[in-house]
Amino acid sequence: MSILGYLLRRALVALTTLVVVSVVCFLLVNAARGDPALIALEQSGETPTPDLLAEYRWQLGLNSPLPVQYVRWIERVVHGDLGRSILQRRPVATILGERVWPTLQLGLATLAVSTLAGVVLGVVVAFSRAPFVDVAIRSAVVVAAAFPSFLVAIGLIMLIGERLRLVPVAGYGSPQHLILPVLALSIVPAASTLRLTRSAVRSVLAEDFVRTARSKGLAEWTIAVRHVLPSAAAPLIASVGVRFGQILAGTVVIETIFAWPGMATAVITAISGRDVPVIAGYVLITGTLVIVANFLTDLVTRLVDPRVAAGAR
Amino acid sequence: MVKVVLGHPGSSRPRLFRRAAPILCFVLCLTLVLAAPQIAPTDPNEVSMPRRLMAPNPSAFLGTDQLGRDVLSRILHGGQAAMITVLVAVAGSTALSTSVGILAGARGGLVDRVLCAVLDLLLAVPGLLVALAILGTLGTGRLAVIVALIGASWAEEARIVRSLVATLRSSALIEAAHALGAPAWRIGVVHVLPATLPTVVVLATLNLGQALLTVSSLSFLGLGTQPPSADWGTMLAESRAYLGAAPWLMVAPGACIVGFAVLANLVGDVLQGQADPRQRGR
Amino acid sequence: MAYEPNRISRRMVLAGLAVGGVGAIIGCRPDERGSSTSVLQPNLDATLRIGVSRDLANGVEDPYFTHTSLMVHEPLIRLGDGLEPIPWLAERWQVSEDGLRWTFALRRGVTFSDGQPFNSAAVIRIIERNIQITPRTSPYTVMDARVAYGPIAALRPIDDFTFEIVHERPYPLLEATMSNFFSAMFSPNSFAPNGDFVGIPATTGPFILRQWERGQFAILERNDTYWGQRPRVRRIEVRVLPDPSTRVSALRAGEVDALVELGAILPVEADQLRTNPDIVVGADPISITQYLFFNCSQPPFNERRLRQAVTMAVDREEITRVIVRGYGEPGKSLLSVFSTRWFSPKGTPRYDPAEAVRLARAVLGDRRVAAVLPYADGSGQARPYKEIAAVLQTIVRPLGIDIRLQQLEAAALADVTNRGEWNLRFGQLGWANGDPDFILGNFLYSRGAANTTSKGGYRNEEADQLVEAGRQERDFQRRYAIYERLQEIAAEEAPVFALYHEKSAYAHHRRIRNLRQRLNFQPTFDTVEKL
Repeated sequence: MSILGYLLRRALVALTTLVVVSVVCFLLVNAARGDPALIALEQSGETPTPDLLAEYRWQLGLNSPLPVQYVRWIERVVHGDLGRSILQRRPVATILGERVWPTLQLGLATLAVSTLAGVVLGVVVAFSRAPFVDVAIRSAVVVAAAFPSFLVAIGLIMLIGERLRLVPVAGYGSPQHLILPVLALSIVPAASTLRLTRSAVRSVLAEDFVRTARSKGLAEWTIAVRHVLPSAAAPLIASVGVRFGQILAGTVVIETIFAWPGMATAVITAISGRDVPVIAGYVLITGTLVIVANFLTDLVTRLVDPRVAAGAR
Repeated sequence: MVKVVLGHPGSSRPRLFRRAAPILCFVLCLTLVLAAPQIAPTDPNEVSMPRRLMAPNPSAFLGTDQLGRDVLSRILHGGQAAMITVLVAVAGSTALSTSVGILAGARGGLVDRVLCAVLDLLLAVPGLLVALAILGTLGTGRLAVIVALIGASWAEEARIVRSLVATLRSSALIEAAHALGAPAWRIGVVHVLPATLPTVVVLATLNLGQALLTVSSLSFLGLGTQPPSADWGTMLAESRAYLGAAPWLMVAPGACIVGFAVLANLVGDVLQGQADPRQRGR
Repeated sequence: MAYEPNRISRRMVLAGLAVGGVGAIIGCRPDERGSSTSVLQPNLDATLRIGVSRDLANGVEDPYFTHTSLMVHEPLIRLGDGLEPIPWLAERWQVSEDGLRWTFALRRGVTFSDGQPFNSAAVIRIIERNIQITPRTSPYTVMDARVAYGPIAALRPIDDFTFEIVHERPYPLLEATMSNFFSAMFSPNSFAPNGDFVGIPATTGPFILRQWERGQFAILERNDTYWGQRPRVRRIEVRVLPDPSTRVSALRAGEVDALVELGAILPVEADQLRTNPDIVVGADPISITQYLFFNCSQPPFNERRLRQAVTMAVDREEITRVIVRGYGEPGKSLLSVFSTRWFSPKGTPRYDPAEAVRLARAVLGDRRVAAVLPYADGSGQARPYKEIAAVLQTIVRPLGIDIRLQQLEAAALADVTNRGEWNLRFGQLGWANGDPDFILGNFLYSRGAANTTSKGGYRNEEADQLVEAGRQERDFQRRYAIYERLQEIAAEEAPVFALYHEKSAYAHHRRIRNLRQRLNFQPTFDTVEKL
C-alpha cells in the first residue's frame, strides 16, 4: 500500500472515531441523573423556592422536550459550539478552551520526561550484565507502578516544595511550576517505557547482526546507539500515542493537587455539579487529542518501520 | 495500537503452580480482608472520642483515627469493601472481554471487523476518562464505580483475547473440530475458551492491581465508593489533613494499596511466565 | 495498553515494599526555622499574596463579577458586625407612613474607577439590570431581584443624589434584602445589552480588580482615589489554591503571606499551624450556621416527640468542641448567635439525654426504627459532616433509632434531598442579608424552600401566620416578638435545629498585621498591613 493510501485510511479511521465519540457525548448529555437547574441554583448553598426553580429551568431551555434539545445540541456542536455550562453559564468551548493548553503542556512535558527517563534506564538495564542493576531497577519499576500518583504528589510537595523550598508548591505560569506535577505524573509512564525498552532492546540484542557487531569488537555504546536503538525504536514509538492518553487521564488527579488550571479541575467540578455539557465537551476534546496523538504515532511508526503497513489492521 | 503476543497458552498448565510464593501471599491477603468481620479486633465504625488520634500501641496496633475508631479494624473492613468492588469489577470486565474477544476472534469476518473497530474506538479514550464520564452520568456509588471500572478496562482485554483467539482459529485442533461439523458455540466453549484461560487469568490478575489504583484515585477525587466503613482510598484521602498530627493514618492504607498492587502485579507476572513458555528460558 | 513481559524474584518484593514504606512516611517533622519578627513600620507599597480556596472573581456572566470579599464593589447598604444594615453608599433612607415609598439619599463625591459619577441614575440603571437578569445563578448568591427589591411599582430618581422605590404593598424587609451583594454598585458603562458585564466592571471600592485568570489568580490594586480610608497595601495577589493541604503547604513554603476567606484552613490543619512560630492562626465568627433537618412528612420523624428526642440527645457543646475543634459556637437557635439583633435564647433546645430516652421510649417502646441520613463529604470545605454523621449514629442508638449513613457527592445528594428520600439531613445556610425571614421564612414556613424544594414537609398553622405577619410588620419591636416566637416554636417542635454557628479559621505570616475576617467572611483587606 502506498504511504498516501495508508495515511488516508488512518485519517478515515480517526474521523469515524471522532464521530462515534461525539455521539457518545450526546448520550451522556441526556443520560445524566439529577436536576442541573437545581444544582446550579443551589451552588451558593441556598435552596431555591419552587417558583424560582421553574423560572430558571425555563430560562435555560431545559423545559423543551429531549428531541428538541438533541437537535439544538447537534446543531451547535457542528458549528463548533459545545453548548453552555449549566453551572457557570459560559460557553463550554470557552471554559475548556482556556484550559486545553495548560493540560497539554503538562501532558507533553510528562511525555518527554518519562520517555527520556524510561528509554535511558531501559537501555542501561538491558545492557547491564550485573544482576544487581537489573533487579534494583526492575523492583523500583514494580513499586513505582503500584504507587497512586496522588501519594507521590503529596510526598513531592512536602519534601521538595515545603522542606527544601526548591520549587513552587503549586500554581501555574513559570517553567518551575511544571517541575513537581511533571515528576509526579512521570513515574508510572516512565516505568512502563522502561519495561518496554528493556524487552525491545533485549530481543534486538539476541539477533544475529548484534552478535556480528560484538564479534567485530565494537564498543558496547557504539552497538547500542548505532545498531540496537534504531531497531528497537519501532515498538517504542508505537506506544507513544497510547501512553499520551494514559498521561492525560493521570492529569485529572494531579491538576487538582497542584492547582494547575487545566481541563481536569474543570471536569471534576462539572461531575459533582452534573454539568454534563462540560463533561461531554471534555470527553470530546480529550478524545480528539488522543486520536490525533494515535494518528501521528501511526504515521511516524509507518515512516520508521515500513513493515507495519503490511501487518496493519 | 500495541500488539501483545502471549504465546501459546494451555501448553503447560501444571507449571502454573510453581513459584507459588507471591500467589500464596496474595491469597493469604485476600483471605484476610475477606474474613475481616471475623478477625477485626473491634467494630470499625465505633466512635470513641476519648480514644481519638492515638498512635499505634498495644491496644490499637495501627492507632486510632480522628473519631477514635480502630485503624486496624477499618483497614480490614475497608479492604473488604475495596476488594469486593475490585473483584466484582474485574470479574465483570473479564467476562465481558472474554466473550467479546472470543466472539470476534472465533467468528472472524464481518463480526470481527466491526467489533475490532468498536474496540479500537474505545481504546482511543483512556480508561480513567471513560470511568469519569460514566460516573458523571450515573452519579457515584459502588455500582457506578464498578460499571466505571469495567468500562475503563474491558476493551483492552477484549483486544488481547481477540488476537489470541484469531491465532487459535487456524490451529489444527479447531480446524479439525470444524471439519467434524461441531457447532460454533460448542467449539467456542469446549475448545477455544479453555485455551484462552491462562491468558485471561493473567490479564485479570494484572487488572486487579490497576483497578484498585483506579478506585483509590476516584476516592481521592471524592468520586469513589463510600460506604460507612471507608475503603482504603477514602481512608488515604481523609488522612491527608492529619498528616502532621497522625502520620500513621496515611501509612496504613497507603502501604495496603501499594502492597496489594505490587502483589497483584507480581502474581500476574508469575502466571504470565508460566503461561508463556518462551519467557521461561530467559 | 502495552503490557510487557517481566519476571520478578522474591527479593524484589521485599525491596519494593521497603521503598513503598519509606515513601509513605515522608515528611511529618514540624518546621524548625526560627521566627524573625521585627518592629518595623508597615510598608505602604507592599504586595500582599493571599491564598484562597475558590475563585473570588467569576467573570462577565456572574451577576456581581467578584465576591464582596475582594472589596472591589461596594453596596448601598452594608451589614455590620451584628448583621445589622448600616449605611454605606446610601447615606440614609426613610420609608413613608404607609410603608410603600422608600427614599434613599446617596453619598456624594463618589466616582467609579472609570470616572463616571456615582449618582441616582447609576443606581437605577443597576437595579433595572438586576431585574432584567433575574434569576441569575452565582457561586456566591443567587440574584433574585424580586426578593432583593420587593414588589416594585415604580423606581425613579428624585434628584442627582436621591432616588425612591415605590412598592405595590409594604415590603419592610427591603433594607436587609438589598444589602451587600444585592445593591453592589457598578459603573453604568459596565453592562452589555443582555445584562452581562462587558469586561472587568468599574467600581467604587478601596481596591480595583486589575487582572484575573479563572482558577488561578485575581490581582487587586489600591484605588488611590477612594472616597474613604485608603488601604495600607498597594497590591494584593489573590491565588486560588483549591486543594486544602496544598494551600497550607504554600503558606508554610512562604509562597503566600496568608490564607483567608471561606474554608481557608481545615480545623485540624489550623491546629497544626499553631505550632509554627512564623505563623499566626486566628478564627473569626462568620454568618454560616450548620443545621440538622428532620423529614417531618414521613415516619419516623413525622412524630414530634422523636424529633425532640434526637434534638435533646445531641450534645452540641461536645460536637463543637471535639469535632469542630472549637471553630464554631454550639448551636443556640436557628438564627445565628452572632446576630445581635435577632438572636433569642428562647430558641435554644434543651440538652437532656435522659429525657430524650424517655421520650423515645414513650413513642417506640422496644421497637427500633431506621432513619436514612444522606450527606456529602464536606472535608474540602472544612465541614466535618462525615464525622458528625458517625457521632449522630452512636448518639441516637440508645433511643431505638438506627441511622443508615449514605455518603453521596453533591449532585446525587441534591437529587436524593429533593426527592424526599431522606429522614435526616445536614443543611447549611449563610445568612446573606441578616433578615430573620431569610432563615425562618425558609425553614419554618410550610411554603419555604426547605419544606417544598427539599421536602422537609414541616407545617404549623401558627408558624405560617407568624411568617406572613413578619413579612408585613414594620415596627421593630413587634417584628422581634414575631421572630422570637418563631425561634421558640422551632425549639419546641424541632423540625430542624442548629448544630453549630461557624467560625472560619485563617492564618498568616508574622509580617502581616490587622488581618481578620468579618461575619460575611470578608477579609479585612482595607486595614491589613505588611511589615
